[in-house]
Amino acid sequence: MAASVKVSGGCLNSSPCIFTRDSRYMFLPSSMTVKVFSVKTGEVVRTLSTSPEEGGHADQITSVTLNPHNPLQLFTASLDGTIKVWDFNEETLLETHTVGVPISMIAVHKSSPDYIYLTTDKRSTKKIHANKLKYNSILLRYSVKPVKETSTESLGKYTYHQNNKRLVRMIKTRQAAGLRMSPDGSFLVLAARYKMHVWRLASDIQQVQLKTYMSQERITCLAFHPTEPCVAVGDETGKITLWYCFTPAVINRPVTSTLHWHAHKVNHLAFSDDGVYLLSGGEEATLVIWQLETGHRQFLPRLGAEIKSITLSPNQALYALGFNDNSVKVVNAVDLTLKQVVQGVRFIHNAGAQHQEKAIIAIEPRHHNVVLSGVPGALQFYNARNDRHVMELEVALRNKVSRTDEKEIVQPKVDLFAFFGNGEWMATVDSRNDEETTPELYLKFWQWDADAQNYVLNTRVDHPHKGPITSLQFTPSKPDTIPLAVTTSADKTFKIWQLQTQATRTSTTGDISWSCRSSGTFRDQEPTAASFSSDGSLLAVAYGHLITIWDPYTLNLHGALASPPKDHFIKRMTFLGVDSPYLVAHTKDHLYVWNLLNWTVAWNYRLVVNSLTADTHTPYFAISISPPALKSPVVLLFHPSSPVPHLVHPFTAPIQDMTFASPSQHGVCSNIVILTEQFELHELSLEPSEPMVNGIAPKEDMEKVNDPSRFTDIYGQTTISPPQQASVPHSYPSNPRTNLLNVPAQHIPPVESLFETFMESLMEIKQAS
Amino acid sequence: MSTDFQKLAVKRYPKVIGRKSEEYRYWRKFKSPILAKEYASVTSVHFSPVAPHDFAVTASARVQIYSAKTHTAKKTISRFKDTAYGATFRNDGKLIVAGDATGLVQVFDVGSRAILRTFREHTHPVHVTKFLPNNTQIMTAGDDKIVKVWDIPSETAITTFRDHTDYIRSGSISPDDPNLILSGSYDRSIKLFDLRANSCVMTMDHHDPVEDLLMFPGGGVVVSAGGTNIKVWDLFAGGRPMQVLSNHQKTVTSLCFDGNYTRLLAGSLDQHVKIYNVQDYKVVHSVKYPAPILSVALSPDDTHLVTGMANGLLSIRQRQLKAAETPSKKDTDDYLRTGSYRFFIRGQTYTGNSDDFTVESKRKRRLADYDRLLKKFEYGNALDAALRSSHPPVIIVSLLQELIHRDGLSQALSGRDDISLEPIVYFIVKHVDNPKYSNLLIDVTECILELYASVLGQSPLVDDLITRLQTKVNKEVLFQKDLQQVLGSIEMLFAKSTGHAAPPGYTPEIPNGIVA
Repeated sequence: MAASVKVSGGCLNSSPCIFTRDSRYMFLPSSMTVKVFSVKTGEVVRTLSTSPEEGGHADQITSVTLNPHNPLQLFTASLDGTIKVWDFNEETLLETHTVGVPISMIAVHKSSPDYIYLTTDKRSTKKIHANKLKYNSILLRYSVKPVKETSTESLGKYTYHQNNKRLVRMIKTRQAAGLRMSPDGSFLVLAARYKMHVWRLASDIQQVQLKTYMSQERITCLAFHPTEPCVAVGDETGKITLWYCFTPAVINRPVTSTLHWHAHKVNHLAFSDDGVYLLSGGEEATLVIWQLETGHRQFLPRLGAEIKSITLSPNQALYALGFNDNSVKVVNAVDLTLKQVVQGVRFIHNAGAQHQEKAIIAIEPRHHNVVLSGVPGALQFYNARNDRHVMELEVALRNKVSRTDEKEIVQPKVDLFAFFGNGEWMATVDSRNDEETTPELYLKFWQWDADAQNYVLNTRVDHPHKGPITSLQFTPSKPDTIPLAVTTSADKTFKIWQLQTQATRTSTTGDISWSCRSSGTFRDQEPTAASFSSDGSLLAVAYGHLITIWDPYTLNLHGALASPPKDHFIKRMTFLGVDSPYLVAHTKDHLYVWNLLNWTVAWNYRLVVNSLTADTHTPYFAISISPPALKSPVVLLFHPSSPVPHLVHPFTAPIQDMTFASPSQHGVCSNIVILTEQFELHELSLEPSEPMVNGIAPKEDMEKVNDPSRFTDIYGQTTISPPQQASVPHSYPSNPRTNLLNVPAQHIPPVESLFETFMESLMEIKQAS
Repeated sequence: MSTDFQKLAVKRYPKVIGRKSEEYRYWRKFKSPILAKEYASVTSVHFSPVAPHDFAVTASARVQIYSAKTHTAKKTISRFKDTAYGATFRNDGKLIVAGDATGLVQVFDVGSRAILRTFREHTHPVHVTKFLPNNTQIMTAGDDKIVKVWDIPSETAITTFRDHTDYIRSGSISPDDPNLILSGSYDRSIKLFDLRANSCVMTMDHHDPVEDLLMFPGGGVVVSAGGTNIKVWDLFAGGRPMQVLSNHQKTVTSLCFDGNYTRLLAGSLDQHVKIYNVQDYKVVHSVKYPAPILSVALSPDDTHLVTGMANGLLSIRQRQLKAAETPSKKDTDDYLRTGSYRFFIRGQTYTGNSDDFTVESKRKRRLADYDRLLKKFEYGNALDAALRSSHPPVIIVSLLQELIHRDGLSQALSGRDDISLEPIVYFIVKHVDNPKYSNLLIDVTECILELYASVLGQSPLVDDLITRLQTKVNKEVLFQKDLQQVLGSIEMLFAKSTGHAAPPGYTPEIPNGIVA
């Protein structure tokens, strides 16, 4: 079987966007490609270089700039060590300059057409620095034109790269934060940590380093004044310092003036073309517009997320603000109204170590949008087909305020969400635990409002459980049955919630709301997962190593499945779709497939499963694993009847979560939507016979499946148990002793009546020989 | 362009469902009973079908018309020689008809109280007098076992039915078809007469002397009261009994509908008025009165509940209408006189055509004082503002929660002297034992104690409050212990009584959902 992949989402504004000369379009670098958006409509009109085969970059694009000599051309610099020149009207690659080192910033100017100044970052190899994201930067000069042999010899000590004579090393420094050329092209400024290095660019080959200035605080960003010999520098404490240091009179004793409003570090600075206004933005999610002459400030508050970049359009009519929630907002410069929003998959860029919380995704059944919890307290509905943001739902409504001191403000986060039936209901669990005050926990039920085309809060349950909620599930939608939802919690109970109607005086239908129907416990253990069977008649709850099967309406315990050894706790578990009698569960290193018709394990694998998802329309299920033998994760698709995977799909990026999408017409099962750690959405569609479309060779995959030796290579010691044969020790009703111990005490008949059967099972009668 | 400031999200807690249903709250709105004393038992109450829905009360030998506004008798008609019965208004509310114990039936003008017509063919007391929907005929029935239909202008009997064999005490005319007349008699039967055929077309057996009859607007369903039972009949199915309601201890004497025919009210000699939902005929509410009830009536606009009792008491209960319920004047009078006030303000509510270009006026959002201060990040002042004005406690609790969310609680609480600290501590003392708030208030208390522990003992004001808080918390802890004990013993009892019947692990939960 072959799979084709459609990629959407991903980072939209990894570096500041830029406008075309006529201010009608803007370029957004989106990982390896550059997307051209129309400012008027917000639509993608062009995409430069979709894949490396077509001449695109092989790694993330770090910097884009218009060709100073020809505004119809675009320079893109990337971590793959190339600078590419594009004709963006024709969508064609004109030229590739291979620099050979990963490029982080570039600076070009009209006055020096032969050179491109660029920086390259090198991660510190020392262990102590590795986790602190420290790096060294080297400033290089790259000659666009080939360099003559003679001149290279004279510059022998400056050549940086043996094979690349065009590169000239200028300085090595720590953590470069900004590289700018003055508007007249005569100065080059590099800011790095506390230092600001200034060069005077002369026409000769050897540049003169003019001066190095020390700043009080760590420099975060840099901008040149367009008319005056002055550079604005933003630092980590939120101060903006204007340095007048380019005229001979002040070159040794620079004059500085300070602007201070920001409480946190300044992320980006930009001057208006006439030099009257300075725009700054940072973590406060507020755009500050400084009128430099008067010192008057204008604010644009509550922009929703931290500002990462500010770009002014060439006609000075628009401000494009890049945010760290992966969006770009275009603001009218006159009345500060919003003109356009380009929203990608919402997630927080550059999240620190404490934000390693994995995002979860699901498919909304009504419009088949991908729903993901990328930012705290909100859910985003994203159309993966059209690569477009649909809507956002604030689960925990709040004003975003920035922190007052070093400590981060604890945000409420959406832990779980689930959809009922055709999307009539959505349930969310959001919590906030700052470890000082009482933890908050809310279970919310949202009803689809067809008029508003949005989910409207119907019921909010405060503290539905005493402990954190570990899973949330709805019953499958069936006519004539009451919708139920189940939550399991670390407080050792699971609760079943039902939709109930309260008749009012005037109407019989009345208000509908959700309330707790019943709660269940089992042996004082913590439930970890719950799942309803596809017909809604059974509820499976995983308790430690046991899977208990209940009737959801009466809470009668039907029995318990006990296959994993005692100390192997079940992490995830789910029934399979369309009246399939199979149940899939995995522990930290095993995958079990149970057949509930004969209460036996159909087959199992020793595998470290990262994520598990089941298709609701077909009996297929998919898991993702990251075998230690391979660098990258692998997605496996199984049919429960056979332990041989239907599809083995290697993946390049680490996987956060995956789910089955809407059913496709021609595929064997629904498409699989996978969210990578880069927040790209990969939609894997399975076509039984069609060859691979996108890069990944199908032959190799087929071999992997067929060749058992390769297979064991990947997964280590695998135990492929053929269905029905390896499952003998787990047969449930065989032994009355084990049977006894798996049933709660109150279900067991009186001890007197049990005694004989029990003793007989212990003492087997010897056959008279 | 930036998103609007989100107002403080005020918490909402689930309503306690149970004792006080919505129905209960509705009928409880019929408040402040006014008791009027008549000379003798009040035999009938009837509301005028036109606004302002005055009502005619028949007691002793007179008919009184009470004003619905002042609740006092504004007109008294005392033109009967003997006890009067069954005064009813005509559809337009201009005429009233009543019978008396001598068999006399008289039609009066409501305005002038003048006798317009007199009908003298009954020989025994007449209890039933009703106008037909055509407004020119009346139907009467009495203890002489006959039902008569009269022409008002000519004062002559059109039809006489002699099918009953005992006193007739109730009657009704089909609102759907004015040719159909119902009568209920002490011979325990309900008979349906057709004026076109001039004969009885249907007989239903109630098994008890019939005291009152009602007909639903469709004319297909009849409700009858007799003995302790109320029966519901389906005329279209040939008089099939649909329901029997036996919720009363004594004879049911009177029936009436509410304004939109969704509730049935029944008054009985057992001193109760019971209210039934006509969908399932379940009792949704009941009202107790001090004496046996002979007549009950609810005004067509559901504002007045009037009951007449055997000891001559008349109880008038009134429900105040909400602004939304009162019909706007625009609907009622629709023509415009020049020179009137309405003439000059005409067009002010003109909404314009759909294709008109409207210039939108942007309304400024009104923020509460604490919201305004929150917006300015003045956390301490916001808390003070919320505490100063008489906001409900839930607002203050929500504000404290918001401050925790913003990591601004200690900022809001710090730097206070004893005067400014007092309100917040007082609030905590007052509400710390409320289970809805206690978790949060404990967090706030911890924050306060952390901030001010070093200066405790310097202000008698705060020290006193802290001591009170301590005693309150101690009390609450003891109380919770007691509760736990009670809970434990109850659980044991449940376990004993249910035995094996209870499914394992099944514990019914108190519903704790809220409708947001």
